[in-house]
Amino acid sequence: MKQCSVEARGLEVRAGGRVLVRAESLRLGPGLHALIGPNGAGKTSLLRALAGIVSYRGEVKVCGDRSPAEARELLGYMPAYPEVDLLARAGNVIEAGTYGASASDGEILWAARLAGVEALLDRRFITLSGGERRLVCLARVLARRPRILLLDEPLSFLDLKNVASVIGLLRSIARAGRVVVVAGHELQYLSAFDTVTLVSRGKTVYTGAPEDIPLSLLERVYETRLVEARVGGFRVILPGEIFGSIAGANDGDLQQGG
Amino acid sequence: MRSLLLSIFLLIGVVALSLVSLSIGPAGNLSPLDVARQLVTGNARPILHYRMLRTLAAIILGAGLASSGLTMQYALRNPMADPYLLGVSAGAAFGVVVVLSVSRNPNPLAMYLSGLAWGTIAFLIVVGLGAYMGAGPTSLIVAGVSVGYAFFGMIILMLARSPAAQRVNYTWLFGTVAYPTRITLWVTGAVVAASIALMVALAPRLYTLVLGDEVSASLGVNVGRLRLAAVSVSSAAASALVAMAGPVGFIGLAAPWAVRLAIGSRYLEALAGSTLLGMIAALGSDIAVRIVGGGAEIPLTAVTALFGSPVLFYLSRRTGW
Repeated sequence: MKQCSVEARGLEVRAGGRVLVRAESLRLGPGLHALIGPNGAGKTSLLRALAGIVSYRGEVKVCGDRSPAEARELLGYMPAYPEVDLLARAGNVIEAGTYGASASDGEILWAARLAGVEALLDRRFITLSGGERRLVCLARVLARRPRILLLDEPLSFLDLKNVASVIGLLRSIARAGRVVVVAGHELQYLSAFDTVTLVSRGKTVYTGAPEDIPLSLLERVYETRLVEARVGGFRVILPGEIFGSIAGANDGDLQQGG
Repeated sequence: MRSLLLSIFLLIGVVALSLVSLSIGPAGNLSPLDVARQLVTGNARPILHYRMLRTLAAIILGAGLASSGLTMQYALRNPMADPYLLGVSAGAAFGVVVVLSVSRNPNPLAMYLSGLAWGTIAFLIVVGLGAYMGAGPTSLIVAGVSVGYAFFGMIILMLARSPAAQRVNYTWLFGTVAYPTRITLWVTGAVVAASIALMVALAPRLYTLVLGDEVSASLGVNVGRLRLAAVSVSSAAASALVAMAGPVGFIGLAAPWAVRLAIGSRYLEALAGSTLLGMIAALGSDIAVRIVGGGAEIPLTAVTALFGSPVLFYLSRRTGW
Protein backbone atom coordinates (compact mmCIF):
# COMPACT_ATOMS: atom_id res chain seq x y z
CA MET A 1 0.00 0.00 0.00
CA LYS A 2 1.40 3.38 -1.02
CA GLN A 3 2.07 5.53 2.01
CA CYS A 4 -0.17 8.51 2.49
CA SER A 5 0.42 11.87 4.06
CA VAL A 6 -1.34 15.16 4.54
CA GLU A 7 0.58 18.33 3.81
CA ALA A 8 -0.12 22.02 4.23
CA ARG A 9 1.98 24.76 2.61
CA GLY A 10 1.37 28.45 3.16
CA LEU A 11 -2.03 27.53 4.58
CA GLU A 12 -4.24 30.29 5.92
CA VAL A 13 -7.84 30.04 7.13
CA ARG A 14 -9.73 33.30 7.50
CA ALA A 15 -13.19 34.27 8.72
CA GLY A 16 -14.62 37.78 8.69
CA GLY A 17 -11.24 39.29 7.76
CA ARG A 18 -9.52 37.62 10.74
CA VAL A 19 -6.86 34.94 10.38
CA LEU A 20 -8.02 31.88 12.34
CA VAL A 21 -4.96 29.77 11.69
CA ARG A 22 -1.81 29.79 9.59
CA ALA A 23 0.53 26.87 8.88
CA GLU A 24 3.60 27.66 6.77
CA SER A 25 4.74 24.10 6.34
CA LEU A 26 3.26 21.01 7.91
CA ARG A 27 3.63 17.41 6.78
CA LEU A 28 2.06 14.52 8.66
CA GLY A 29 2.88 11.03 7.39
CA PRO A 30 1.71 7.65 8.66
CA GLY A 31 1.55 7.66 12.47
CA LEU A 32 -0.38 9.06 15.39
CA HIS A 33 -0.16 12.84 15.62
CA ALA A 34 -1.31 15.14 18.40
CA LEU A 35 -2.55 18.63 17.58
CA ILE A 36 -2.51 20.62 20.81
CA GLY A 37 -2.94 24.22 21.85
CA PRO A 38 -5.07 26.45 24.09
CA ASN A 39 -8.80 27.00 23.50
CA GLY A 40 -9.36 29.13 20.42
CA ALA A 41 -5.77 28.70 19.19
CA GLY A 42 -6.92 27.39 15.80
CA LYS A 43 -6.72 23.57 16.11
CA THR A 44 -10.25 23.00 14.81
CA SER A 45 -9.79 25.46 11.94
CA LEU A 46 -6.58 23.68 10.92
CA LEU A 47 -8.30 20.29 11.07
CA ARG A 48 -11.25 21.63 9.01
CA ALA A 49 -8.87 22.97 6.38
CA LEU A 50 -7.07 19.61 6.18
CA ALA A 51 -10.51 17.97 5.81
CA GLY A 52 -11.38 20.45 3.05
CA ILE A 53 -14.59 21.73 4.61
CA VAL A 54 -13.59 25.38 5.00
CA SER A 55 -12.14 27.62 2.34
CA TYR A 56 -8.46 28.40 2.74
CA ARG A 57 -5.55 30.08 1.02
CA GLY A 58 -2.42 28.14 0.25
CA GLU A 59 -2.14 24.43 -0.39
CA VAL A 60 -3.37 21.25 1.24
CA LYS A 61 -2.24 18.03 -0.40
CA VAL A 62 -3.58 14.60 0.48
CA CYS A 63 -1.77 11.36 -0.43
CA GLY A 64 0.37 12.97 -3.10
CA ASP A 65 -1.04 15.74 -5.19
CA ARG A 66 -4.77 15.68 -4.51
CA SER A 67 -6.70 18.39 -2.71
CA PRO A 68 -8.99 17.26 0.15
CA ALA A 69 -12.04 17.84 -2.08
CA GLU A 70 -10.57 15.40 -4.62
CA ALA A 71 -9.72 12.80 -2.00
CA ARG A 72 -12.94 12.49 0.02
CA GLU A 73 -12.84 8.71 0.02
CA LEU A 74 -9.43 8.80 1.73
CA LEU A 75 -10.47 11.15 4.54
CA GLY A 76 -12.38 10.53 7.76
CA TYR A 77 -13.31 13.65 9.71
CA MET A 78 -14.84 13.77 13.19
CA PRO A 79 -15.96 17.16 14.53
CA ALA A 80 -15.80 18.11 18.19
CA TYR A 81 -19.55 18.80 18.34
CA PRO A 82 -21.57 16.54 16.04
CA GLU A 83 -24.94 18.07 15.18
CA VAL A 84 -26.77 14.79 14.82
CA ASP A 85 -30.50 14.71 13.99
CA LEU A 86 -32.66 14.19 17.08
CA LEU A 87 -34.39 11.09 15.68
CA ALA A 88 -31.31 9.35 14.23
CA ARG A 89 -30.08 6.17 15.86
CA ALA A 90 -26.44 5.32 16.50
CA GLY A 91 -26.59 2.74 13.68
CA ASN A 92 -27.91 5.42 11.31
CA VAL A 93 -24.99 7.68 12.21
CA ILE A 94 -22.41 5.03 11.34
CA GLU A 95 -24.23 3.94 8.18
CA ALA A 96 -24.93 7.45 6.83
CA GLY A 97 -21.25 8.25 7.34
CA THR A 98 -20.23 5.63 4.79
CA TYR A 99 -21.59 7.78 1.93
CA GLY A 100 -19.15 7.60 -0.97
CA ALA A 101 -17.19 4.78 0.65
CA SER A 102 -19.57 1.84 0.04
CA ALA A 103 -19.32 -0.13 3.28
CA SER A 104 -21.24 -3.39 3.75
CA ASP A 105 -23.41 -4.15 6.79
CA GLY A 106 -20.55 -6.39 7.97
CA GLU A 107 -18.06 -3.53 7.78
CA ILE A 108 -20.40 -1.25 9.70
CA LEU A 109 -20.71 -3.88 12.41
CA TRP A 110 -16.93 -4.35 12.39
CA ALA A 111 -16.42 -0.62 12.96
CA ALA A 112 -19.02 -0.59 15.76
CA ARG A 113 -17.25 -3.52 17.42
CA LEU A 114 -13.83 -1.85 17.16
CA ALA A 115 -15.19 1.25 18.88
CA GLY A 116 -17.09 -0.86 21.43
CA VAL A 117 -20.55 0.48 20.51
CA GLU A 118 -22.10 -2.67 19.03
CA ALA A 119 -24.76 -2.76 21.75
CA LEU A 120 -25.78 0.86 21.15
CA LEU A 121 -26.70 0.70 17.45
CA ASP A 122 -30.49 0.78 18.02
CA ARG A 123 -30.33 3.61 20.56
CA ARG A 124 -31.15 7.15 19.49
CA PHE A 125 -27.93 9.14 19.35
CA ILE A 126 -29.16 11.93 21.61
CA THR A 127 -30.03 9.47 24.38
CA LEU A 128 -26.36 8.38 24.60
CA SER A 129 -23.86 9.77 27.09
CA GLY A 130 -21.17 12.18 25.90
CA GLY A 131 -18.55 9.42 25.90
CA GLU A 132 -20.78 6.98 24.03
CA ARG A 133 -21.48 9.64 21.41
CA ARG A 134 -17.74 10.12 20.86
CA LEU A 135 -17.32 6.37 20.38
CA VAL A 136 -20.21 6.19 17.88
CA CYS A 137 -18.68 9.07 15.92
CA LEU A 138 -15.34 7.28 15.95
CA ALA A 139 -17.05 4.12 14.63
CA ARG A 140 -18.58 6.24 11.86
CA VAL A 141 -15.11 7.36 10.78
CA LEU A 142 -13.68 3.83 11.03
CA ALA A 143 -16.47 2.35 8.88
CA ARG A 144 -15.18 4.43 5.94
CA ARG A 145 -11.75 2.78 6.32
CA PRO A 146 -10.05 6.11 5.61
CA ARG A 147 -6.31 6.47 4.98
CA ILE A 148 -6.29 9.76 6.87
CA LEU A 149 -8.27 10.25 10.11
CA LEU A 150 -8.80 13.83 11.28
CA LEU A 151 -10.31 13.64 14.77
CA ASP A 152 -11.33 16.69 16.77
CA GLU A 153 -11.24 15.91 20.50
CA PRO A 154 -12.00 12.18 20.18
CA LEU A 155 -10.91 11.59 23.78
CA SER A 156 -13.27 14.15 25.36
CA PHE A 157 -15.92 12.72 27.70
CA LEU A 158 -14.32 9.24 27.64
CA ASP A 159 -13.78 7.35 30.88
CA LEU A 160 -10.28 6.10 31.71
CA LYS A 161 -10.84 2.63 30.27
CA ASN A 162 -12.14 4.05 27.01
CA VAL A 163 -9.33 6.61 26.77
CA ALA A 164 -6.87 3.74 27.02
CA SER A 165 -8.67 1.57 24.51
CA VAL A 166 -9.20 4.40 21.98
CA ILE A 167 -5.54 5.43 22.19
CA GLY A 168 -4.58 1.76 21.73
CA LEU A 169 -6.94 1.47 18.76
CA LEU A 170 -5.65 4.66 17.13
CA ARG A 171 -2.04 3.54 17.64
CA SER A 172 -2.73 0.23 15.94
CA ILE A 173 -4.47 2.02 13.04
CA ALA A 174 -1.45 4.32 12.73
CA ARG A 175 0.91 1.31 12.80
CA ALA A 176 -1.02 -0.07 9.84
CA GLY A 177 0.14 2.91 7.76
CA ARG A 178 -2.68 5.37 8.37
CA VAL A 179 -2.31 9.03 9.21
CA VAL A 180 -4.19 9.73 12.45
CA VAL A 181 -4.41 13.35 13.62
CA VAL A 182 -5.95 13.95 17.05
CA ALA A 183 -6.77 17.47 18.20
CA GLY A 184 -7.19 17.85 21.94
CA HIS A 185 -5.72 18.81 25.28
CA GLU A 186 -4.31 15.52 26.49
CA LEU A 187 -0.82 16.61 27.51
CA GLN A 188 -0.75 13.78 30.02
CA TYR A 189 -0.85 11.18 27.22
CA LEU A 190 1.52 12.91 24.79
CA SER A 191 3.95 9.99 24.87
CA ALA A 192 1.39 7.84 23.11
CA PHE A 193 1.78 10.02 19.98
CA ASP A 194 4.48 9.86 17.35
CA THR A 195 4.54 13.61 16.85
CA VAL A 196 3.02 16.66 18.44
CA THR A 197 2.09 19.91 16.69
CA LEU A 198 1.53 22.91 18.93
CA VAL A 199 -0.82 25.66 17.76
CA SER A 200 -0.66 29.05 19.41
CA ARG A 201 -2.70 32.16 18.54
CA GLY A 202 -3.46 30.93 15.05
CA LYS A 203 0.02 29.64 14.20
CA THR A 204 1.76 26.29 14.31
CA VAL A 205 4.76 26.94 16.52
CA TYR A 206 6.22 23.46 17.00
CA THR A 207 6.12 20.08 15.31
CA GLY A 208 8.30 17.27 16.62
CA ALA A 209 8.59 14.35 18.98
CA PRO A 210 6.55 14.65 22.19
CA GLU A 211 9.66 13.85 24.25
CA ASP A 212 11.43 16.89 22.82
CA ILE A 213 8.84 19.64 23.17
CA PRO A 214 10.24 22.08 25.75
CA LEU A 215 8.16 22.49 28.87
CA SER A 216 8.94 26.24 28.86
CA LEU A 217 7.37 26.56 25.38
CA LEU A 218 4.23 24.77 26.55
CA GLU A 219 4.07 27.00 29.63
CA ARG A 220 4.40 30.09 27.48
CA VAL A 221 1.72 29.00 25.04
CA TYR A 222 -0.75 27.75 27.67
CA GLU A 223 0.07 30.71 29.96
CA THR A 224 0.15 28.48 33.01
CA ARG A 225 2.67 26.64 35.13
CA LEU A 226 3.12 23.00 34.15
CA VAL A 227 4.79 20.10 35.90
CA GLU A 228 6.23 17.03 34.31
CA ALA A 229 6.83 13.57 35.68
CA ARG A 230 7.99 10.20 34.41
CA VAL A 231 5.60 7.26 34.56
CA GLY A 232 7.17 3.97 33.47
CA GLY A 233 9.76 6.03 31.62
CA PHE A 234 7.13 8.07 29.70
CA ARG A 235 6.81 11.82 29.93
CA VAL A 236 3.60 13.05 31.60
CA ILE A 237 2.74 16.76 31.67
CA LEU A 238 0.14 18.16 34.05
CA PRO A 239 -1.06 21.65 35.01
CA GLY A 240 0.94 22.63 38.07
CA GLU A 241 -1.57 25.28 39.13
CA ILE A 242 -4.03 22.56 40.15
CA PHE A 243 -1.68 21.19 42.75
CA GLY A 244 -0.75 24.68 43.82
CA SER A 245 -4.38 25.60 44.37
CA ILE A 246 -5.08 22.38 46.30
CA ALA A 247 -2.12 23.05 48.55
CA GLY A 248 -3.23 26.68 48.96
CA ALA A 249 -6.79 25.65 49.85
CA ASN A 250 -5.53 23.12 52.41
CA ASP A 251 -3.28 25.72 53.98
CA GLY A 252 -6.25 28.09 54.16
CA ASP A 253 -8.41 25.43 55.82
CA LEU A 254 -5.70 24.75 58.36
CA GLN A 255 -5.28 28.39 59.11
CA GLN A 256 -9.02 28.90 59.48
CA GLY A 257 -9.28 25.76 61.57
CA GLY A 258 -6.36 26.91 63.78
CA MET B 1 -36.46 -6.50 7.34
CA ARG B 2 -38.49 -4.56 9.85
CA SER B 3 -39.02 -1.75 7.38
CA LEU B 4 -40.03 -4.16 4.62
CA LEU B 5 -42.64 -5.75 6.89
CA LEU B 6 -43.91 -2.31 7.86
CA SER B 7 -44.21 -1.29 4.20
CA ILE B 8 -46.12 -4.45 3.29
CA PHE B 9 -48.44 -3.98 6.25
CA LEU B 10 -49.02 -0.32 5.34
CA LEU B 11 -49.59 -1.16 1.67
CA ILE B 12 -52.32 -3.62 2.63
CA GLY B 13 -53.81 -0.84 4.75
CA VAL B 14 -53.81 1.56 1.79
CA VAL B 15 -55.60 -0.95 -0.46
CA ALA B 16 -58.17 -1.79 2.22
CA LEU B 17 -58.90 1.84 3.07
CA SER B 18 -59.14 2.76 -0.63
CA LEU B 19 -61.88 0.15 -1.03
CA VAL B 20 -63.68 1.46 2.04
CA SER B 21 -63.32 5.02 0.74
CA LEU B 22 -64.91 3.98 -2.56
CA SER B 23 -67.68 2.08 -0.78
CA ILE B 24 -69.07 4.54 1.72
CA GLY B 25 -70.54 8.02 1.69
CA PRO B 26 -73.67 10.05 2.39
CA ALA B 27 -75.07 9.10 -1.04
CA GLY B 28 -75.28 5.46 0.03
CA ASN B 29 -72.98 2.59 0.76
CA LEU B 30 -71.80 0.05 -1.80
CA SER B 31 -70.35 -3.33 -0.99
CA PRO B 32 -66.64 -3.70 -1.82
CA LEU B 33 -67.64 -6.46 -4.26
CA ASP B 34 -70.01 -4.13 -6.05
CA VAL B 35 -67.25 -1.51 -6.22
CA ALA B 36 -64.83 -4.06 -7.66
CA ARG B 37 -67.41 -5.21 -10.23
CA GLN B 38 -68.11 -1.64 -11.39
CA LEU B 39 -64.39 -0.90 -11.63
CA VAL B 40 -63.61 -4.10 -13.54
CA THR B 41 -66.47 -3.80 -16.01
CA GLY B 42 -65.68 -0.12 -16.60
CA ASN B 43 -69.30 0.61 -15.95
CA ALA B 44 -68.93 2.85 -12.93
CA ARG B 45 -71.88 4.95 -11.79
CA PRO B 46 -71.38 8.74 -11.31
CA ILE B 47 -71.19 8.42 -7.53
CA LEU B 48 -68.32 5.96 -7.87
CA HIS B 49 -66.60 8.35 -10.31
CA TYR B 50 -66.81 11.09 -7.69
CA ARG B 51 -65.57 8.80 -4.95
CA MET B 52 -62.66 7.72 -7.14
CA LEU B 53 -61.62 11.34 -7.57
CA ARG B 54 -61.92 11.88 -3.84
CA THR B 55 -60.04 8.69 -2.95
CA LEU B 56 -57.23 9.46 -5.39
CA ALA B 57 -57.04 13.00 -4.02
CA ALA B 58 -56.67 11.60 -0.48
CA ILE B 59 -53.95 9.17 -1.62
CA ILE B 60 -52.00 11.92 -3.41
CA LEU B 61 -52.51 14.28 -0.49
CA GLY B 62 -51.24 11.81 2.11
CA ALA B 63 -48.30 10.63 0.03
CA GLY B 64 -47.27 14.18 -0.85
CA LEU B 65 -47.59 15.63 2.64
CA ALA B 66 -45.74 12.80 4.37
CA SER B 67 -42.89 12.59 1.85
CA SER B 68 -42.48 16.39 1.83
CA GLY B 69 -42.61 16.52 5.62
CA LEU B 70 -39.94 13.82 5.91
CA THR B 71 -37.67 15.54 3.41
CA MET B 72 -38.14 18.88 5.12
CA GLN B 73 -37.21 17.26 8.46
CA TYR B 74 -33.97 15.94 6.96
CA ALA B 75 -33.15 19.10 5.02
CA LEU B 76 -33.70 21.37 8.01
CA ARG B 77 -32.45 18.75 10.52
CA ASN B 78 -35.50 19.42 12.61
CA PRO B 79 -38.01 16.72 13.57
CA MET B 80 -40.69 19.37 14.10
CA ALA B 81 -40.48 20.55 10.48
CA ASP B 82 -43.50 20.03 8.24
CA PRO B 83 -44.18 20.71 4.54
CA TYR B 84 -45.65 24.13 5.31
CA LEU B 85 -42.75 25.43 7.39
CA LEU B 86 -41.31 27.56 4.61
CA GLY B 87 -44.44 29.62 4.08
CA VAL B 88 -46.03 27.71 1.20
CA SER B 89 -49.38 26.92 2.84
CA ALA B 90 -50.06 30.54 3.74
CA GLY B 91 -48.83 31.63 0.29
CA ALA B 92 -51.00 29.10 -1.55
CA ALA B 93 -54.05 29.87 0.61
CA PHE B 94 -53.50 33.57 -0.13
CA GLY B 95 -53.46 32.78 -3.85
CA VAL B 96 -56.84 31.03 -3.63
CA VAL B 97 -58.39 33.84 -1.55
CA VAL B 98 -57.10 36.45 -4.05
CA VAL B 99 -58.98 34.77 -6.90
CA LEU B 100 -62.11 34.53 -4.76
CA SER B 101 -61.95 38.20 -3.89
CA VAL B 102 -61.54 39.45 -7.47
CA SER B 103 -63.70 37.04 -9.43
CA ARG B 104 -67.47 36.88 -9.31
CA ASN B 105 -67.56 33.37 -10.60
CA PRO B 106 -64.22 31.81 -9.74
CA ASN B 107 -62.96 29.04 -11.91
CA PRO B 108 -61.55 26.11 -9.89
CA LEU B 109 -58.55 25.88 -12.22
CA ALA B 110 -57.80 29.60 -11.78
CA MET B 111 -57.99 29.15 -8.00
CA TYR B 112 -55.68 26.17 -8.22
CA LEU B 113 -53.11 27.87 -10.43
CA SER B 114 -53.15 31.01 -8.31
CA GLY B 115 -52.62 28.87 -5.20
CA LEU B 116 -49.72 27.05 -6.84
CA ALA B 117 -48.16 30.31 -8.03
CA TRP B 118 -48.49 32.15 -4.70
CA GLY B 119 -47.20 29.13 -2.79
CA THR B 120 -44.13 29.23 -5.02
CA ILE B 121 -43.76 33.01 -4.64
CA ALA B 122 -43.93 32.69 -0.84
CA PHE B 123 -41.28 29.96 -0.97
CA LEU B 124 -38.98 32.06 -3.16
CA ILE B 125 -39.31 35.00 -0.76
CA VAL B 126 -38.41 32.64 2.12
CA VAL B 127 -35.37 31.28 0.31
CA GLY B 128 -34.26 34.82 -0.57
CA LEU B 129 -34.61 36.01 3.02
CA GLY B 130 -32.99 32.79 4.28
CA ALA B 131 -29.99 33.33 1.98
CA TYR B 132 -29.75 36.94 3.16
CA MET B 133 -29.62 35.69 6.76
CA GLY B 134 -27.07 32.96 6.07
CA ALA B 135 -29.02 30.09 4.44
CA GLY B 136 -28.57 27.68 7.37
CA PRO B 137 -31.55 25.63 8.59
CA THR B 138 -32.40 28.13 11.33
CA SER B 139 -32.36 31.12 8.94
CA LEU B 140 -34.73 29.29 6.61
CA ILE B 141 -37.10 28.39 9.45
CA VAL B 142 -37.15 31.96 10.79
CA ALA B 143 -37.78 33.32 7.27
CA GLY B 144 -40.48 30.67 6.68
CA VAL B 145 -42.36 31.41 9.88
CA SER B 146 -42.18 35.21 9.29
CA VAL B 147 -43.35 35.05 5.67
CA GLY B 148 -46.06 32.53 6.60
CA TYR B 149 -47.47 34.87 9.26
CA ALA B 150 -47.30 37.83 6.87
CA PHE B 151 -49.40 35.94 4.31
CA PHE B 152 -51.84 34.82 7.03
CA GLY B 153 -52.18 38.46 8.01
CA MET B 154 -53.08 39.36 4.43
CA ILE B 155 -55.59 36.49 4.23
CA ILE B 156 -57.30 37.66 7.42
CA LEU B 157 -57.43 41.25 6.12
CA MET B 158 -58.96 40.10 2.84
CA LEU B 159 -61.50 37.88 4.58
CA ALA B 160 -62.43 40.74 6.90
CA ARG B 161 -62.62 43.52 4.29
CA SER B 162 -63.74 41.83 1.08
CA PRO B 163 -67.27 40.44 0.96
CA ALA B 164 -66.34 38.45 -2.13
CA ALA B 165 -63.46 36.73 -0.37
CA GLN B 166 -65.83 35.60 2.34
CA ARG B 167 -67.11 33.10 -0.18
CA VAL B 168 -64.01 31.11 0.76
CA ASN B 169 -65.18 27.90 2.17
CA TYR B 170 -63.90 27.44 5.70
CA THR B 171 -63.78 23.69 5.04
CA TRP B 172 -61.16 24.37 2.36
CA LEU B 173 -59.21 26.63 4.70
CA PHE B 174 -58.66 23.66 7.02
CA GLY B 175 -58.26 21.12 4.27
CA THR B 176 -60.58 18.85 2.36
CA VAL B 177 -60.53 16.48 -0.59
CA ALA B 178 -64.24 17.04 -1.27
CA TYR B 179 -63.73 19.35 -4.25
CA PRO B 180 -61.09 17.94 -6.55
CA THR B 181 -61.47 18.35 -10.30
CA ARG B 182 -59.92 15.98 -12.78
CA ILE B 183 -57.37 18.51 -13.97
CA THR B 184 -56.23 19.68 -10.51
CA LEU B 185 -55.99 16.07 -9.43
CA TRP B 186 -53.75 15.08 -12.34
CA VAL B 187 -51.52 18.15 -12.10
CA THR B 188 -51.10 17.64 -8.34
CA GLY B 189 -50.51 13.92 -8.83
CA ALA B 190 -47.81 14.65 -11.40
CA VAL B 191 -46.11 17.23 -9.14
CA VAL B 192 -46.17 14.83 -6.16
CA ALA B 193 -44.91 11.88 -8.24
CA ALA B 194 -42.08 13.99 -9.66
CA SER B 195 -41.16 15.27 -6.19
CA ILE B 196 -41.03 11.75 -4.75
CA ALA B 197 -38.90 10.58 -7.71
CA LEU B 198 -36.44 13.43 -7.02
CA MET B 199 -36.40 12.56 -3.31
CA VAL B 200 -35.47 8.98 -4.22
CA ALA B 201 -32.67 10.30 -6.46
CA LEU B 202 -31.36 12.50 -3.63
CA ALA B 203 -31.78 9.77 -0.99
CA PRO B 204 -28.13 8.81 -0.32
CA ARG B 205 -27.12 12.46 0.07
CA LEU B 206 -30.17 13.37 2.15
CA TYR B 207 -29.33 10.52 4.52
CA THR B 208 -25.97 12.16 5.33
CA LEU B 209 -27.76 15.29 6.60
CA VAL B 210 -28.59 13.44 9.85
CA LEU B 211 -24.87 13.84 10.65
CA GLY B 212 -24.89 17.64 10.56
CA ASP B 213 -23.64 20.01 7.89
CA GLU B 214 -19.97 19.76 8.76
CA VAL B 215 -19.75 15.97 8.54
CA SER B 216 -21.98 15.90 5.48
CA ALA B 217 -19.64 18.35 3.75
CA SER B 218 -16.61 16.27 4.77
CA LEU B 219 -18.18 13.32 2.93
CA GLY B 220 -18.29 15.36 -0.27
CA VAL B 221 -21.90 16.57 -0.16
CA ASN B 222 -22.59 20.14 -1.29
CA VAL B 223 -24.83 20.83 1.69
CA GLY B 224 -26.14 24.24 0.60
CA ARG B 225 -27.18 23.03 -2.84
CA LEU B 226 -28.68 19.81 -1.48
CA ARG B 227 -30.69 21.70 1.15
CA LEU B 228 -32.03 24.09 -1.48
CA ALA B 229 -32.96 21.20 -3.80
CA ALA B 230 -34.68 19.28 -1.00
CA VAL B 231 -36.75 22.18 0.33
CA SER B 232 -37.66 23.25 -3.22
CA VAL B 233 -38.93 19.80 -4.12
CA SER B 234 -40.88 19.49 -0.85
CA SER B 235 -42.34 22.97 -1.11
CA ALA B 236 -43.40 22.50 -4.74
CA ALA B 237 -45.38 19.42 -3.73
CA ALA B 238 -46.82 21.23 -0.70
CA SER B 239 -47.92 24.21 -2.84
CA ALA B 240 -49.73 21.95 -5.29
CA LEU B 241 -51.37 20.05 -2.44
CA VAL B 242 -52.58 23.20 -0.69
CA ALA B 243 -53.92 24.55 -3.99
CA MET B 244 -55.84 21.29 -4.48
CA ALA B 245 -57.02 20.47 -0.96
CA GLY B 246 -56.23 23.42 1.33
CA PRO B 247 -53.76 23.22 4.19
CA VAL B 248 -54.30 19.84 5.83
CA GLY B 249 -52.42 19.78 9.10
CA PHE B 250 -50.44 17.20 11.03
CA ILE B 251 -49.95 14.42 8.43
CA GLY B 252 -46.74 15.97 7.14
CA LEU B 253 -45.36 16.23 10.66
CA ALA B 254 -46.65 13.10 12.34
CA ALA B 255 -46.38 10.39 9.66
CA PRO B 256 -42.59 10.77 9.17
CA TRP B 257 -42.11 11.01 12.91
CA ALA B 258 -44.05 7.85 13.65
CA VAL B 259 -42.20 5.93 10.94
CA ARG B 260 -38.76 7.12 12.04
CA LEU B 261 -39.52 6.23 15.66
CA ALA B 262 -40.63 2.77 14.54
CA ILE B 263 -37.91 1.80 12.03
CA GLY B 264 -35.09 4.34 12.37
CA SER B 265 -33.82 7.03 10.06
CA ARG B 266 -32.56 5.33 6.89
CA TYR B 267 -33.90 7.93 4.50
CA LEU B 268 -35.14 5.67 1.71
CA GLU B 269 -36.91 3.27 4.08
CA ALA B 270 -38.38 6.18 6.02
CA LEU B 271 -39.58 7.71 2.73
CA ALA B 272 -41.39 4.51 1.73
CA GLY B 273 -42.94 4.06 5.17
CA SER B 274 -43.92 7.72 5.58
CA THR B 275 -45.49 7.92 2.12
CA LEU B 276 -47.64 4.86 2.80
CA LEU B 277 -48.56 5.97 6.33
CA GLY B 278 -49.44 9.41 4.97
CA MET B 279 -51.82 7.77 2.48
CA ILE B 280 -53.42 5.78 5.29
CA ALA B 281 -53.80 8.89 7.47
CA ALA B 282 -55.40 10.92 4.67
CA LEU B 283 -57.70 8.10 3.52
CA GLY B 284 -58.69 7.27 7.08
CA SER B 285 -59.36 10.91 7.96
CA ASP B 286 -61.44 11.44 4.85
CA ILE B 287 -63.51 8.33 5.60
CA ALA B 288 -63.95 9.55 9.18
CA VAL B 289 -65.17 13.04 8.14
CA ARG B 290 -67.68 11.46 5.76
CA ILE B 291 -69.03 9.19 8.49
CA VAL B 292 -69.09 11.89 11.19
CA GLY B 293 -70.28 14.69 8.91
CA GLY B 294 -73.17 12.86 7.25
CA GLY B 295 -74.04 15.20 4.37
CA ALA B 296 -71.98 18.12 5.72
CA GLU B 297 -68.28 18.49 4.94
CA ILE B 298 -65.94 18.65 7.92
CA PRO B 299 -62.33 19.80 7.38
CA LEU B 300 -59.72 17.02 7.40
CA THR B 301 -57.45 18.80 9.87
CA ALA B 302 -60.11 18.26 12.55
CA VAL B 303 -59.54 14.50 12.35
CA THR B 304 -55.81 14.45 11.56
CA ALA B 305 -55.05 16.69 14.55
CA LEU B 306 -57.50 15.12 17.01
CA PHE B 307 -56.43 11.58 16.18
CA GLY B 308 -52.79 12.27 15.34
CA SER B 309 -51.69 14.18 18.42
CA PRO B 310 -52.42 11.45 21.00
CA VAL B 311 -50.87 8.82 18.70
CA LEU B 312 -47.72 10.91 18.35
CA PHE B 313 -47.60 11.53 22.09
CA TYR B 314 -48.02 7.83 22.82
CA LEU B 315 -45.33 6.81 20.32
CA SER B 316 -42.84 9.34 21.67
CA ARG B 317 -43.51 8.25 25.22
CA ARG B 318 -43.19 4.56 24.40
CA THR B 319 -39.93 4.94 22.58
CA GLY B 320 -38.48 7.01 25.41
CA TRP B 321 -38.25 10.38 23.69
